Amino acid sequence: MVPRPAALPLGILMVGVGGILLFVAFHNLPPEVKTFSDFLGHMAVQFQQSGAK
Amino acid sequence: MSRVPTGGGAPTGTDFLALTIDQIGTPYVWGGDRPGGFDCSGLVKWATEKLGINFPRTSEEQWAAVQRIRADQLQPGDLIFMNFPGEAAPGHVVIYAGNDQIIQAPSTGQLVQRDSFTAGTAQQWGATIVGYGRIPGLNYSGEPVTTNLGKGGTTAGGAGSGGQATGSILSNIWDALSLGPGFTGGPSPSDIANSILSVAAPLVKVAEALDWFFHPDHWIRLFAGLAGGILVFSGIWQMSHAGEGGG
Repeated sequence: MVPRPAALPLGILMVGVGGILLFVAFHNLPPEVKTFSDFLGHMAVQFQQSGAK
Repeated sequence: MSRVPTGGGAPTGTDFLALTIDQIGTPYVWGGDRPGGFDCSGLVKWATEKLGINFPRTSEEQWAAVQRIRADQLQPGDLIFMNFPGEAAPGHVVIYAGNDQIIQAPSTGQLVQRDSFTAGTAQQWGATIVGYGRIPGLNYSGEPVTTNLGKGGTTAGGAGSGGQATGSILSNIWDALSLGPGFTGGPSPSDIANSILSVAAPLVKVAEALDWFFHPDHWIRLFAGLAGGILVFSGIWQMSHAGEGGG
């Protein structure tokens, strides 16, 4: 067995950074977005609108 | 031709101006601060360096270092700072040569040159005048110039800088407030607004960054969602396998 002392802090760091990114992704959405499927629909509309510009 | 004063006393604004005039015809080179090529602030930096004055390199830093003066106080060797659209801080500096003329290193493809410069010239160029400044350490009309607003510089003449600097601050405040009827000198409201904007520019950058963070574009949301999910999943996996061996 080779010890992996850096795995725990690395894991904490990755979860921390990932949490921030998930916050950026899912915060401040329009109030009508309440479920994940609503979110996917909202994003699809956004991309269609940006593609139409 | 050497214009560096050899006698005692502080170099004058005219000495400084003469050095820049000697460089007329030198090509504009962005980042250049030697006689082979100059940009606008590089020309100022080089000439001050030749006179033994420690002066900053960029136009933004130079604007922070000069003693602020009014347009009607301009003397040969003073500096005029201006902004072009999209610039948060003074992006261009020219040297006042007297008689409504300036010396400047304008832009790529041009040479260091003498141009006429009147009240409307900056607007014709699409620029806004940020303000006028005097280089600390140069002697104008026999009086050494104090540094700007107690920034820790020195006076060319030595003693009495504290009192003179305080007087300069009060004078600037008074000048800014003296905008009543019949007042012809002093900074215009647009000059004051530009000064405030130049101070506020870093705060605007912070506000833009916060706006980006709290109102992300949908592309940023997509990237953040994917990357965040992968990172969290990988992080949990890492932690749950922290005690296991890698071999």
